[in-house]
Parts: sequence; C-alpha cells; structure tokens
Amino acid sequence: MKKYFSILSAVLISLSSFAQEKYTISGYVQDKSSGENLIGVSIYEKQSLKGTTTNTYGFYSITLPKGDYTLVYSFIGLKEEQVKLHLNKNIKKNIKLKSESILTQEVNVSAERKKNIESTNVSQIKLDVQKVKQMPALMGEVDILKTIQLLPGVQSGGEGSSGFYVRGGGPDQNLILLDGATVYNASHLFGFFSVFNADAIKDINLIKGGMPAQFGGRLASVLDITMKEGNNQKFGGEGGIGIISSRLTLEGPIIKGKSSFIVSGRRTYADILAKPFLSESARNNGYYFYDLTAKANYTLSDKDRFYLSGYFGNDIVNFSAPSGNFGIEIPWGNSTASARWNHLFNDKLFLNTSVIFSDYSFEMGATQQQFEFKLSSKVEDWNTKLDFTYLPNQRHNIRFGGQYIYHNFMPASISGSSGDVDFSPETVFKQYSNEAALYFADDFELTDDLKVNFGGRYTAFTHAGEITFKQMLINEFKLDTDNQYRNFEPRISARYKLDYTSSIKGSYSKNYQYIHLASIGGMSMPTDLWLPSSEKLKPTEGVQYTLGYFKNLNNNMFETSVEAYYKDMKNLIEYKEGALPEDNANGRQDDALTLGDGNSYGVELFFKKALGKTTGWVGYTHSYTNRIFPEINNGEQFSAKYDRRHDLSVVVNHDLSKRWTASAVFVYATGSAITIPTERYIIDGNIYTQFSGKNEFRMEPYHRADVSFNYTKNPDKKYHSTWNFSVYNVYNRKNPYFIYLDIEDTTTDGSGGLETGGLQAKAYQTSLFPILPSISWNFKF
Amino acid sequence: MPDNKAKVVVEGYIQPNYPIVIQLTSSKGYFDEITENELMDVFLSDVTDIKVIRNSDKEVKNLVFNEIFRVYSEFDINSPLLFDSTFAQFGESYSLEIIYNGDTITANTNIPYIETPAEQVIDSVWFVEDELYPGFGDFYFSYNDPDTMGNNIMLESKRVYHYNLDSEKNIPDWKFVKAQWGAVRNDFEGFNGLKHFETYFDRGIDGVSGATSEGKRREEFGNFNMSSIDSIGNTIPADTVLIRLSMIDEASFNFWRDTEYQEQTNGNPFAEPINLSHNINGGFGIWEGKGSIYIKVIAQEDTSFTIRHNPEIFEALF
Repeated sequence: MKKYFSILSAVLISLSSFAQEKYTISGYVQDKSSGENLIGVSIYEKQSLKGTTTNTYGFYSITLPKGDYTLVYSFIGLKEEQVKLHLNKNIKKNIKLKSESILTQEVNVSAERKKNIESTNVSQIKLDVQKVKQMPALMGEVDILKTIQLLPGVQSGGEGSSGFYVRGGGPDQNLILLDGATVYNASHLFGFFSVFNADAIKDINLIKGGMPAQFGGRLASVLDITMKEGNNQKFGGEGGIGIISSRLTLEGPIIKGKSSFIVSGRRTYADILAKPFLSESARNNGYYFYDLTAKANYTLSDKDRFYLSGYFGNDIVNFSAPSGNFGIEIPWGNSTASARWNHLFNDKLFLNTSVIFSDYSFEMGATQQQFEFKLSSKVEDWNTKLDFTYLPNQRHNIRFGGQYIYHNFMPASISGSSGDVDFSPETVFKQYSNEAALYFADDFELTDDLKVNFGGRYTAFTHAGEITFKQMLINEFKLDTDNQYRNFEPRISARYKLDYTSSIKGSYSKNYQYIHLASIGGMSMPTDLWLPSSEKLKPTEGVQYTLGYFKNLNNNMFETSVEAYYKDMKNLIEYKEGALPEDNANGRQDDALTLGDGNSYGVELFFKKALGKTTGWVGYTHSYTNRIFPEINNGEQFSAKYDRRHDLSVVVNHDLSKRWTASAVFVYATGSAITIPTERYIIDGNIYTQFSGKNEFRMEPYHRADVSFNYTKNPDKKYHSTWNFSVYNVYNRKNPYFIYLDIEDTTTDGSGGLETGGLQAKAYQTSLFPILPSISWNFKF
Repeated sequence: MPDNKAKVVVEGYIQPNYPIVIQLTSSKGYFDEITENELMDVFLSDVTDIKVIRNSDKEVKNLVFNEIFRVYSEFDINSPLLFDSTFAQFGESYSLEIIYNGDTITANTNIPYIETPAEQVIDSVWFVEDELYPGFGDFYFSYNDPDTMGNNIMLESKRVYHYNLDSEKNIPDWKFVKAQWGAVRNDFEGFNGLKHFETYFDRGIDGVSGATSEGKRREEFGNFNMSSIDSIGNTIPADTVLIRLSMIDEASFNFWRDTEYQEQTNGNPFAEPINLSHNINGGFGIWEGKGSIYIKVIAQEDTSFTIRHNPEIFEALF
C-alpha cells in the first residue's frame, strides 16, 4: 500500500508542478504544400531535447517554464523548422513544414529518428506510404497489407494472400481500423488484394504488443490506418492504370485553407475487357471488385474541426450456365462511415468525438430451374467514442475516454424456394451485442531515463442471443447475467534509456476479445462467420509480455531492435473435428465450435535504414505458436496452422537517379503446418483414414524474391507520371499453396480399379503464382 | 510422406448369450498401393495369443481363428453351440489382450444393462411406404429412453428373408448393417428420459450391388422391399427384417459416431479432418460390449413386431 501511495504522490506532484511559472505552446503542424495535418511530427526543445509528437490530428502541446527557447519541428521528408520563442504566456503556434531534398534529410532528422529510442512504444511500427508504393507489387497492385507481412512478428496468410497473423494470433485477432472504423474483411479477390487504396492513405501504424489502453477488443494487433484529408490549398489528383485495375483520386479545397475533400476509386476490369471475346450466353459471367473512399473536413474554428469519411467496397462474382438453368451471384464487401469532431477545450485538453458505422456482408444466391437458394451473413456495428488527450506538462501525456459499440450479427442465414414452396426461416437468425469500454493511460516520464506508460481498460460485453431487438431490450432490463462479461485489462509499458543511442523497453498487456471469427478448414474465406461471445463461447483472453533492446547506429541513420515476446491465450475457438461448412448455418454455430488455449513466443530482430538513397529493412522472427484444445487432437498440444519457426524478410529501396528507383523484396518462411492422412484400415467393410496429429507435418518452405523499377517522367513538374515495372517471384519458385490427395492408376494399361487393384493414393502440391511480370502507369497532377 | 508401421485393427464384439467374435486386420500406409484383393490381404489369421479376460473374476477365454468366418472366437465351427454362454454378462467389464509380432494390443469394454422388460424399451414399430419409390419403405419405431444419463444406443438391421430378383431366390443379408446417418445416439443429444422417442430407421446402404426391378435399384436405394408381383405374375414376398437395438458404452458410441463424421467429411477440403476415437491401445478399431434387443418384423404396412430375446446364434452373431 505504501508503494502505491508513493507512486500516486509522484504522479500528483508532477501533475501540479507549482514550483515554476509555466506556459504552453500548442497548435497544429501541417504539410505546407497540401495543408494535410501531420501525424507523429517530433517537436522538441533544442537545448534539452525534451519534446513531444503530434497526435493523429496533427495537434501538439508543450508546457515549459518561462524563458527563451528554440523549438524544433522535425518530420521525415519535410524540411525541419526551428522557431525561437520568448515564453512568458501561452502561445498558439501552427506550423507548416515544406518538403526538402533527400540529402538534407539525413542531417536534419537525426533527432526525429530518436523516437525509436525515446518513446515507450514497444512493438509498434509505422510504414511510409510513399515507400510502400515503390515496392514490387503482385500484378502491379500496391498493397499495404502485403507490406505489413514483411515486418517481423507478422506472418503472411499464404501465397498472394493479404491476410496476416501477428505473434501467433488468428486473423480475427487483428483490429483493422480505417479512420477509426473497424474493417471486418480487409481483402478483395478471395484474399489476394487488400481493400485499402494506397492513394488515399496518409498513415499506417501497426501495434503488435503493449497495446495502448485506447485500443481494445482484439488480442493480437492494431493496424491503425488514417486516410488523407485532401489538399486544402489546391486541386489535384493522382491515379494509375494497371493490368487488373485502374484507380483515380481527386482532392482539393472546398474552402481554401479551411475545408477540403478527397475521393478515391478503384475498379478491376478483367470482366469488361473479356466481354467482347465471350459468347453471348457467357457475357454476364465474371468477377470484379471496386472500392470507393471519400473524406471531407472542415475547420470550424481554431478549436473545432470536423471530419467525415467513408469507405464502400464490393466483390461480385456472377455466373450463368449457357442453358440458363443455373445461375449464381456472390457479392460481399465492407462499408464504413466515420464522423469525427475535434475540440480543443484549452491548450492542454484535446477531445475527439467519433460516431462510426461499420458493415460487412456476404451473400450467395443460386438458382437452378425452379430451385432457389440463398446464404447470407452480416455483421454491423454502430460505434461511438470519446477520446481525450490531456497534456498537463512535459512529463505527462494522459489519454482517457470511453467507447460503446452496438453489434448486430447475422451469421449464416439460409433460405430457399422450390417453385411456389418457400423454405425461408420464419425469422432471420440474429444476434445482438453491446460492447463498452472506459480507458485511462498516462505516458509518464518519471526520470530522464525512465518513462512509463501505464493505464487500463475496463470492458463490458452483453450478448443478447438469438432474439429480436425488442426481446433483447426486455432482457437488458431483466439484467440477465448469463451472457454478460466484465473485465479489467491492465496495460503497462516502460522505457529505460541506457545511453543516448540505446534503450530497453518492456510491456505487459491483458486483452479480452468478445467477438470471434469462425473459419472452417483453416482457410480464411469471405464465408467465415463473425460470432459474438455467448454463454458457450467465452471471451478470448490474452496476456502478452514483451522485452526489447533498441539501439540506433551511425547518428540514428540505422535503427535496430531485438524483441522477445510471450503470449498466453485462453478461450480460442476452433471448429470441432469432423465439422462441415454447413454446420455454420441457421444458428448452429456454437455447437460446431470448441474452446481451447494457446501460446506463442519468439524473438524478433529488426534492422532498418530509413534515410538516404538506399533504404529498407531486414526483419527476422523465430517463433513458436501452439494450441491445446480438449476436443481436438486427443487433447494434445498442436502447432497452429500459421506457426512458423523462421520468418525472414529483406526489403531494399534504392534511388538510382532522380528519375529511376529500384526495389527488391526477399521472403523466406517455414512451411505451413498441415494435417495429412497417414494410414488406412478397414472397419465393418469400409475403409477409414487415420490422419497425422493435427498440423503435425509441414509444407515445403516458402521463399520468393520480387523486384521493381520505377521511372518518373518530369519529377519536378506539377504533372508527372511514373511507370512501375514489377516482377513477382523472380526465380519462379513453385511455392506450395495447398496439398491435395488423389488416387492414381499405377497399371500400365489403365485397368486399375477398386476391384482390380493397381491404385495408389498420392499427394500433390499446388503452386499458385509463377514468375509474374507486370506494368502499371501512375500519374499525379 | 510418412512411413508408418502397420498396426493391428480390431473389430470385436462381446454380448451376453453369444460367443465372442473378433476380426483382426492390419492397417496399411495411406499411400501404399491398393491391391487387387485389398480386403483379403489385410486379414490377420496367424495371431496365436489372443484372449479376453472378465475383469471381476479374471476368468480368461482364449480365442482361436475360425477359417470359415475368418474371425477369432471361442466356438468350434463344427459345434457352434459349444461355448460358455455364461462368460458374457450384463454389467461386467472385459479386457482384450493380443500379442502379435512382439506388440501388445489391449482394450477394455463393458456390457451395458438393458432395461427390462424389453417391451417397455421398444414401444412400437411400424412401416411406412416411400412416397417417391412405391414398393419400398422404411421402419419407424418408438423408443423409451431410461431417465438415467449415459445411455448410448446403436441401430442395426439385417434382412433375414430377402428375395433376390437376379437369382430368384432368398438371399438373406450375411451381417447386420448400421442405419445410415445416425446409427448411434446418446443422451447428450437431448433425448435423455424421453418417452416415445420416435426415430426413422433406414436400413442403410450395405454396399452390395443389387437386383434391379422396373428400373429401381433396390439394394442401392437401401430401403426395405415390400411384397410385389414380378414380371411373370409371381408374388415376391416382403423382406423379413431383424432389427438390433444395442446398448453400448461411450467409447463405442464415440467410435461409431466418428465413422459417420469421417464418411461425411472425406474428400471435402473445407471440412476439418477427423480420426476415429478408438479404444484399442497399440492399434486401431473397436472392442465393444453390447446389450442387445432383437426385433423381428416384416416390411409391410400394419405390420406386427415380435421381440426375439435369443435369436439363433448365426442370426445374431454377424
């Protein structure tokens, strides 16, 4: 108790700081050319090197004792700005940073690069969207999620897949946010491309561990993506034409300097291009996806800003048999809408209020003569958040707030008809849930060397079962406790500076996840179902410990880190052995699923060069991911499907000249864990199969190299265009995509059969992408 | 690909009033060639050390291989009635021990009690002609489940009279066939203590390619034949069916339930693979104690049924 009292006293004393007269400098930092608010700009006092960074909305606040200071504003890719101040009152200072040459950056942003050492952030990585765009891309489609997979601790979902697994967590354990809105299925084309159009993205931040208290609801990671706001100075645009899709982005001021918009669209066109070459009956067949991203903002006053953003995307598969007797249509997609209001109460207290809508829906409709069949699933969220940032002085950065989400699930509803007979269920199976959270966190600099970020998140979840909304409300008033969960999630991370260039960091975090993704067959598909926690499906619980050593070299030119983590997970869900896809339908999901535990541990090495003509990184992860389910694998521990002993990524970008850049990527990963049949035997006259232990075998290792070259015409002009030449899988590695089994006739005369013998089961490996060159043309004006 | 050593596969039954019957085969590597006579190739007939022990008093029965039925049993084919009918008893547990090629294979089972009198367990049996396939039909019966937990039942049938159209004579089934999709049920499926639990009883597909009549493939369709008139005006008698309702232990229930799951999931790339949860240590298969009720019934509407407490040995054994 005495110890807690001491800590509390230290916090209160440091919060009050009566000893000296202090004043606050605050404001927004923007990119001068576009007027975009900049996220993560370093602002520090030149003598003491003490400082802060701008938040997601470009806002900063520093409180210093009365005196004369030089404040430095530093951000990669933009010219450093130094401002001299005589601080004897609170000052508002909005700053606009200009762009600068690469060579100058290497000198000026040295201090900015120290964030890696200075911050309490552990297991967090920011990606530079411009660098992502230069990298080799499958079929020329720039993909943020595929770049995320190249980071240590992040595993790919498979060949060509944009799905990702973080530190042994499943794909449902990643909280993917687009301007604060949850994106439930972040992929197009059955997982080969992500839904994010890089032209509309400003900032990408991945949190793999030590999750800050403002985030919750998922165990493994947060991928926080912020959309561009739109140029509020001048009208412009960019776009591109690729081999499978084209895209166009337009942005500009609505009221110059005060309000702007950005609209970005993308569509594949293989279906349209193929149409003239198809027969009349096949012209309605095809596959395409499209997405549309839009955002507008308005500065109401010095203290108030308003943002409205949205995403709408769909994948559509159509097929009609030439006879007209059979047809199928499968649309699925996400839509999100976010309205946000920033309000500055004073120089030290910032509020962001959000109202967010997210929706993911999947449908499959099939007709065959007089028969009709329809499968639908859907998850829809209404989410509201209050996020306060309070910056009382140099030593504290306090965040607190609350969140409420109303979930509406419709997992796999099946209906159909045969002629005049309708088989539709009387009521569509729906599940409703309420999820709420309160959080508090303080990023507290205890001493010059020791900084601690501590806090917690109190969460509550109520599941209202397979009932109507009205019934749910009645249950809420009855305070039925069967399906209610309340949990506290402590979060703490700390940084201790060893010297000017190195620090050690550690974190402990506990998370609860109340919604789950049920994936059958270990493959992530659009048909996967989101389900709420219920009486049978307990919330998933995760505890993660991380410890890292961070060292910058050569005047912060190179960042290196070694991080070790251990994660313990409870109440993970899997389908029971013998489960079938149809077990998902019409409310039977809970019975087909079983609960178990898991753990994951490993070491991640990261070496990064972010500046100069040659940039890139090397990431290596050595990890173990295990699962233990009483009802699976005879209750014995087994490797998760995405357990990878080794995972290596090498990324290099090089500026060959003012016009030419080159990029290369190499990846290596241990083969996926698989279950295979090992023996067969006869019982009651039938042949049965004995399978190996679950995920006991491995596919061949995965490795691949890609290269790309970019040529920019007239790089100094307002209008310029870039050709991107990419080669995916340069050395044509036949990577395993899946293994299938077939019975082969081994007789020379083809007389093999079940009664005559001469048959043999064989396993075949299927590869997906051979060497794939692509070209795309991008423009900007 | 894995190279597994062949294991002994046990398919053995013990039931009161009948001799023990055990079939032993050998497993094969999944990727081994399927030979011309796969079923015969895997039979094990050279096991010399195989015995069953009654656990309560350690009484031992040594079993020998029977060439005709290709099973291990305690009876002599020349004197099939000469066996110890008191060895298998309700409520007792029995261990199986096999030593073969230096490996020891063991298993345990028990023979569950059946509620008496059996007429209270089977409430009624009736036959319904199939609307889509006239001349064929299914049995339904009403079963009273005891209100204690842990009851597992298995449903099988055997046509003891079946007129084969090809050979124009009676060719009865040589063994019981499990009801298709749902041959085993248990209390955890929610029928514990139910009175007059009514269930559909399809004979199942026995895998025998059968006679055709007026374009209908009776055997493959799997239902029971009603009486009919053939092309020359002769009356073909309806099937006479012996239905076996057995109480089995939980291990047996899990095993047979898993066979149904595996049959459903085989070849489906989106399904979760499943192994049969057997009770054989050191091998595969099932060592099963069963307490059975036998019901004889004719495949016709308004049929009557009789409970046969002790069908003759070869009628009940396989």
